[in-house]
Amino acid sequence: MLNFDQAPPRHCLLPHRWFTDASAYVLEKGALARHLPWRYAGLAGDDVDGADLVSLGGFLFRQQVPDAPPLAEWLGPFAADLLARATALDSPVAQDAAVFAANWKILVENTLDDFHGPTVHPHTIHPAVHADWRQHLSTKRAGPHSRSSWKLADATAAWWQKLVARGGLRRFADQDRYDHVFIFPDLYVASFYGTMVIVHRVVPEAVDRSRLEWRTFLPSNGLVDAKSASFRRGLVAMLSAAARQVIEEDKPLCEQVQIARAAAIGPGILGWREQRIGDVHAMLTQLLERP
Amino acid sequence: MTGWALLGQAGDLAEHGQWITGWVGTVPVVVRNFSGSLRGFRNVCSHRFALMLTEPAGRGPLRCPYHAWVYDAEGIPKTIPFNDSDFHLDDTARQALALPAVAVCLTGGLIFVNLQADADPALPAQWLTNGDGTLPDGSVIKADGTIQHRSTKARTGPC
Repeated sequence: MLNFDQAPPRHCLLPHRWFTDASAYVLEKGALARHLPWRYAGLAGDDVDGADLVSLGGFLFRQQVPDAPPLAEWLGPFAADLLARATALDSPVAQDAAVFAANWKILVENTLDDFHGPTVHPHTIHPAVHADWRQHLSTKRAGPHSRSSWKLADATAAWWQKLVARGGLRRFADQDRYDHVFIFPDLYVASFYGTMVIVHRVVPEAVDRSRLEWRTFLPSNGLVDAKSASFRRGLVAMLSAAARQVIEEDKPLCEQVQIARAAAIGPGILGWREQRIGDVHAMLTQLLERP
Repeated sequence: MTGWALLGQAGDLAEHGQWITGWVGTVPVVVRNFSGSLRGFRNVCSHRFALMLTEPAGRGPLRCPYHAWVYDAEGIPKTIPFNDSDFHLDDTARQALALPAVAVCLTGGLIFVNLQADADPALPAQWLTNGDGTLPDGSVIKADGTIQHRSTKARTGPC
């Protein structure tokens, strides 16, 4: 879907006021509540309820409009991705959160930006993926939802292979990849080596403030002895710190966009590896234009 | 805020590659020495709107930390990583993404900026000769010519 031989589509990004204007934030909140068919509500076991909730393997979605399409139809090809990752949801190991001084859409733009690894995460994400990541990056898009998948560096894959053996980890897929599944407007699920799953949710708190919540799942094969249990505890601490580090690297960039965006005069531009961002802006534009 | 505003000391821009930053109200600005020529721009990347230079002063390219776009003396992105594959921007398209220029005035060893690129540069000099050290933009100059307070030090205006 990314045809690097041609110029990418030139999306129109939402005007700056949707990132800085408190009244626009209220309008947007209303549009998302009134017109969005389904919205992620949490995970099975969370303190959410209602007859309008539907579970997809433990991912809970709230039906927001009476004539919503079936959930599986709304999620398109990514329903299967969520179901595969849902097998890890029985193994929560950590949760964390961070508050950003930025509009929620800036966090979403950041996570859907598939090529800031070399500049923003030069010592974390970037070296973990294959050096020829541009060749190996695979992106699937359907409506406002999308998935990008990177091949892990050989050393990273070998490292995970050892972790699976020593930690007694279960895998939902036999793959040496880092996957990122985004469900509009605020859910994204990262997974590594087909085993560790991190469920992220972007929670708007104000036009210029958002909370990013993430929960980590590390499924076990059930054959856990004392030695592997001890190993897992250390592993969880390390992986949690690494996940936090990545977020801490993203945070200043998001906040720098928030304070500068309103002063920009031009329209901005999206490249091929930012088309997922364009999809979000297109859907938001549709929702905001409805009466 | 409109009009001229004091951004800093000329000494901080003495050499090629040196830059200083500040805020004209809610607009971040940067002035950089390009081979002896002082050029000023909005300090906002044309790509995805990140604030580019975050320190008050420094030395180096006009480079966005988000995706490493680098801008030249005309404010045009001269280095765009992955342009051939991801953006396909030719010279005309790059020109269209040039950073909006701001007017720069060097007088009395001080650097002034104005968001209107064609603003009259005579005004800041008049401020220095006519005033008592308190400038119309709210900045304060000491008797020895150093800056006691500058209005552009921090972002002001609506959040």
